Amino acid sequence: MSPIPTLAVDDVVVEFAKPRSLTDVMTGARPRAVRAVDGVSFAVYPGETLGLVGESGSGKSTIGRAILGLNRPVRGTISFEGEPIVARDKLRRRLQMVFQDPYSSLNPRLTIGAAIAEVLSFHKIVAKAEVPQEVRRLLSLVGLPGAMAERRPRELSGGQRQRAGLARALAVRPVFLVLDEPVAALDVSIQAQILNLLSDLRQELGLTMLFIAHELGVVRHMSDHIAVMYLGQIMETGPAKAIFEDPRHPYTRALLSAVPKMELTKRQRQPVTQGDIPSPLNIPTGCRFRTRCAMAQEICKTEPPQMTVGEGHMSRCHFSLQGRREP
Amino acid sequence: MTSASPLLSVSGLTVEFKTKRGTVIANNALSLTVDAGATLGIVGESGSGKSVLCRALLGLLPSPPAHVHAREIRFAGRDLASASAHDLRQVRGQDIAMVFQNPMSSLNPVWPIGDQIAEGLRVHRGFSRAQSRKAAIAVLKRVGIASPEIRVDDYPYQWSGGMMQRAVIAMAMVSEPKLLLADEPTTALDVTIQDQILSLLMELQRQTGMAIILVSHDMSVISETCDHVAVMYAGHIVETGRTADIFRRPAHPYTHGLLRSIPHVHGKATRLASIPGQPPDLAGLGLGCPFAERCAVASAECRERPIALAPVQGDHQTACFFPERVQELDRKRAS
Amino acid sequence: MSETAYHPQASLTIRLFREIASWSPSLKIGSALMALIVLAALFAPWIAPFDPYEQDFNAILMPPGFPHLFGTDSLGRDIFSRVLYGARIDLVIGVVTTYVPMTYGVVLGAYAGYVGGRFDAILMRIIDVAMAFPFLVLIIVILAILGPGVQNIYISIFILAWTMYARLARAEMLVERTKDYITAAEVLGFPRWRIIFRHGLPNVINSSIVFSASDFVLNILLVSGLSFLGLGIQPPLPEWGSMIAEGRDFMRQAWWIATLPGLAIVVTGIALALIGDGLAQRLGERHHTMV
Repeated sequence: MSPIPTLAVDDVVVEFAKPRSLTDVMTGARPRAVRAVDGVSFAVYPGETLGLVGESGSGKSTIGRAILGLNRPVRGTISFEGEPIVARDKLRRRLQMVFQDPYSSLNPRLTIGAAIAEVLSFHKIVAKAEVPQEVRRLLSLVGLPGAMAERRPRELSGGQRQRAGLARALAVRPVFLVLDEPVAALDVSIQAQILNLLSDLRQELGLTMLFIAHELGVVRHMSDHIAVMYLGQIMETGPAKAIFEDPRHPYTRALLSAVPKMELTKRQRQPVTQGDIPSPLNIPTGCRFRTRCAMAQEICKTEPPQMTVGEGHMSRCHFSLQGRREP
Repeated sequence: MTSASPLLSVSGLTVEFKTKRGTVIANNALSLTVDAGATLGIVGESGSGKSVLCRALLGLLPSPPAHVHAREIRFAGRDLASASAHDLRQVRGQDIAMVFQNPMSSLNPVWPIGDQIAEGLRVHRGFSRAQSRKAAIAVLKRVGIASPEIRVDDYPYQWSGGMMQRAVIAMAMVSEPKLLLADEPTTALDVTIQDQILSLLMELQRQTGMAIILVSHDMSVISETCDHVAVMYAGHIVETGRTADIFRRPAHPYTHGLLRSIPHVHGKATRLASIPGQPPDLAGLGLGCPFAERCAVASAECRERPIALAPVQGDHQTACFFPERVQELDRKRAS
Repeated sequence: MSETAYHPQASLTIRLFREIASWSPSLKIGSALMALIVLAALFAPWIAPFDPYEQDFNAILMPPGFPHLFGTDSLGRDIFSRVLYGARIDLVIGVVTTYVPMTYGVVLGAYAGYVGGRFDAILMRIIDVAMAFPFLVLIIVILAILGPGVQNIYISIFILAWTMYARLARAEMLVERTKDYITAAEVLGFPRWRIIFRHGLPNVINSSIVFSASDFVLNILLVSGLSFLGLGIQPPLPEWGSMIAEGRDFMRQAWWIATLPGLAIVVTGIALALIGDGLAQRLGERHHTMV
């Protein structure tokens, strides 16, 4: 494991301003901001995949977009191969994204081939004469027949569109890919095809990935390390196996217990959590998970827990749990 | 499935849509039964026809594009297939209720939630405004909404996705239905909220003894909540039986493929077995098994003989001509 | 990794044929009618039996018949030939007054929709002001300043007509901007102008195209109306509107002088309405994804 991470995020905070209403302006109320990402740090090393998992409001998509320069953190640094990256950096080309919605991720007016060719010619990846050949190579890399180049997105299925989007992202020869729920909108059987494709490509091309998803099974399948996010902070992070077999944070445990399992009997149990996920506008004081935590104590209301340090498996809880989870 | 007089018995349900590309058979001569108090899961991917099935049962498909005909749709002794529009409307919302996938589009954004819940009672049972408000508060409490007497006047935009889905369930429960159709009720919800909603549905079922038809693409959801399962593909039911039997010993290559392609949270992370190709265009289906093209163990006969459900063992039925070949699939394990 | 059987792309002619076959009856009829009108205008010099300016005092105020299919006016000019030549004038008017403002209107609107901020706010206020006044009144005001005549009518339309297109394109851009392919273009490092004009613009002009169909005939009516009032096209040019003006005095004894050019305007309007309707449907189908 090389000491320089391909991508490092250090104490990043991303805020979205809440638009002020007329009454706010008149009463002189200060503009409120939602902290979608509130002090997140992680590092992804070359060739590895970090899985970022969380529910609504966790901030996982926001941090993914911040890495790509699509929003601007108010604090913290994002570094690529050791160097901080700024907006409009040429280096940004080496970080690309695969999107969730196959139906809006391709320009409806361009053929697949034209979309990929545009990337190739604009960035001068290959000589002009070689563009059609490179388009075909990329298409076959993602498992699409070369003749798909003449098709428009509306003629393709969801799975085929995801492949096309992937080909377009790979055209620019990225080193790091952010995948934001890449299979959430696909049928289960197609999902498996795309996940296998991603695994193969990762190996062939030596890609480093940030895999954002809400489905734990999918994340586990693809990731070497996992970070669990809740309301803008990382609650727990560590090697994938450790997170799933020895979860230390109550939220991680809750998530794992809440996922329906292939039981062969009807469920009898109570739900693992009570209550709704708080709105990011109203983040609970102290530990943000305390409103739904079975273990919450007085200290959780007043003291925000820090990340425990240790051995690559860290958790943000006053009472970080040890020991294996019951199967 | 085993009871002599099931609550719901559907026989030969066919739904066709005439489109520019040809006739799409969204449901192809489907037959199923649901006993009172039991839960039937319907599992399938997009294009399988599972949502069309729900809507067809309630007569919710607009009839020029859709053509629905069934030999019989027997519910609590009445034949819904030949019922008048008026009778169907009586049944709908009273004895059979439906919960849809997206709570945001199930609720009218400009009406208070209480009013929407109360409407059913006022229309079907002639409750007064005061009576129906009381009933709405009671049912909101039952589905787990805190401070229901205050929240009954809230508008949908003030509620989260999970709370809205509870409101939708409340609307369904308020008339004490005998059968609840739930079409992907938790797909749009977060994992921990899904957990709560599924527990709620199971609890409500225990309390009222209602039957549930749960449609989902997520087999683990179905495995946790359903006694029986029907697996759908391209408008056909390709396998049906008790949940434990289907998932332990699938008798259809599609079911098998589906089970093997799920990445498991609690299992080892191995390479996923995917089903090659994609679901067929429903307008261009010929005779023969619709899955044959993607099936690793299909033979020439599969492409020619029209499929029908046949028993494998007891309740367990499959539409595959060669269910014994399903075991070979594990050995073949194409990537 | 296998996919379902791939069907190779059919040839251009076959695809064109299939495309037209998929049109709704509105679009087919409207297009056929419009094609007829355009052909009539194009081939007027060959089709018209008479010179549109030729006066024949032996044949004034003749009713429709043979050889004057549409009759003659008070100067003995053949109405049929004048209507045909009039098509040339009115179609050109329609094209110029509709598509010129559409180009910069759509560009401004698309840009504003994408960048937002101050540019957008200012542009929207300008549009709001312009659209708050009745169009005709503003045109007449401008003409009062600039003087009558076709050129000035064009100028005044160019000053005002772009606003609707800007609004339509901006509205569509606000939607498209949220779509992932725009985000992808940003992530791929494309410069802003490229994203707005190469990726965004082609996807935000649908509503403008549909609107232009009705705008076309409305503009013809506008110019005809202004010519009718004596502010635009001057006789003896065979513009349909001024022909109606000329025929007004003769409605009792020679209804055909005013009515038949009017009918020409109506038919053009119907053709464009049908096209607009059909286009709205067809463009919508093509833009939205097939699930």
